[in-house]
Amino acid sequence: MSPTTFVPLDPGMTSEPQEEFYTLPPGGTNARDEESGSFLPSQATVKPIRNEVIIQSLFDDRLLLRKPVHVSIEREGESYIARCDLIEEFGYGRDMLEAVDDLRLTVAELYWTLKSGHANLGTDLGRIYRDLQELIAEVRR
Amino acid sequence: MNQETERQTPPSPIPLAFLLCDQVISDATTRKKTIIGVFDRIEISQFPAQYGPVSVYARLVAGEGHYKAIIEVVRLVDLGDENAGRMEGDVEVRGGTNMELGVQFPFITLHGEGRYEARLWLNDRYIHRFPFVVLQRQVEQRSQP
Repeated sequence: MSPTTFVPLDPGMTSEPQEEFYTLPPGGTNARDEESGSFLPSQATVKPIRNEVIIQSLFDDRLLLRKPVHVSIEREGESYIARCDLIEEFGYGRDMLEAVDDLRLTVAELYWTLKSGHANLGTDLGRIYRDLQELIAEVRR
Repeated sequence: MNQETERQTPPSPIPLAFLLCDQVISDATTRKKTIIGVFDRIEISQFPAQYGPVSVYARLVAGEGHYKAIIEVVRLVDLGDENAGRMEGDVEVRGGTNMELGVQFPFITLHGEGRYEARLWLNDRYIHRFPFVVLQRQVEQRSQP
């Protein structure tokens, strides 16, 4: 596990967190139904499931994806499969984003597992670890 | 989005929190946020229904640049995603700052029971979701005196 770097505050600095709070406009810039123009659709509109989702973060705030990753979505019976061809990993879920979140968790766990034993990895796992290192950066804070 | 555009797009922030609640209050002096009434289920007696106000709070780190933010609320149905509400806006994040995002929907439209999600997209990239459930409240039948 990568150690967190703590930066002590210089004298004179306040302890207020450096944050920005953004509020999207009240009423919504796009809360209107595109077709009818009404504030919200009176009838349900159903959009088909995407067949691809782009991610650039994992469920681990110690890790960053260096570039956007395209995740393909497939349906298998009642379940959804999120597939990342770049690293040949899969996620599963009851719905599209549950599968994507499962994939993100899997990738993060795989990275730490391979990193902890990288000195003893075989050819295949060593290749996977190198692919992950190209894809993932550790966050230093 | 082609590869060149992807390279120029700022990195996606890392989500630390993404919640559905009744209200987000921001202290004008300290800028601290107070989140009121986090929930993950809604009970409705009759559908369709407009339920609100509903607020969404997100806290993210490691972002910098210009983002087109979309927060949508959908019902998960077999054929796809049924729209319940949507907000979008542009956000400019300074480097070295954490990011908090707050949205208040006057109401969301609930067409039926089931599983719903609030979703956050930044520059067309999936960031996080908050699942919740909508149930039909059973109305008690009172017997005649």
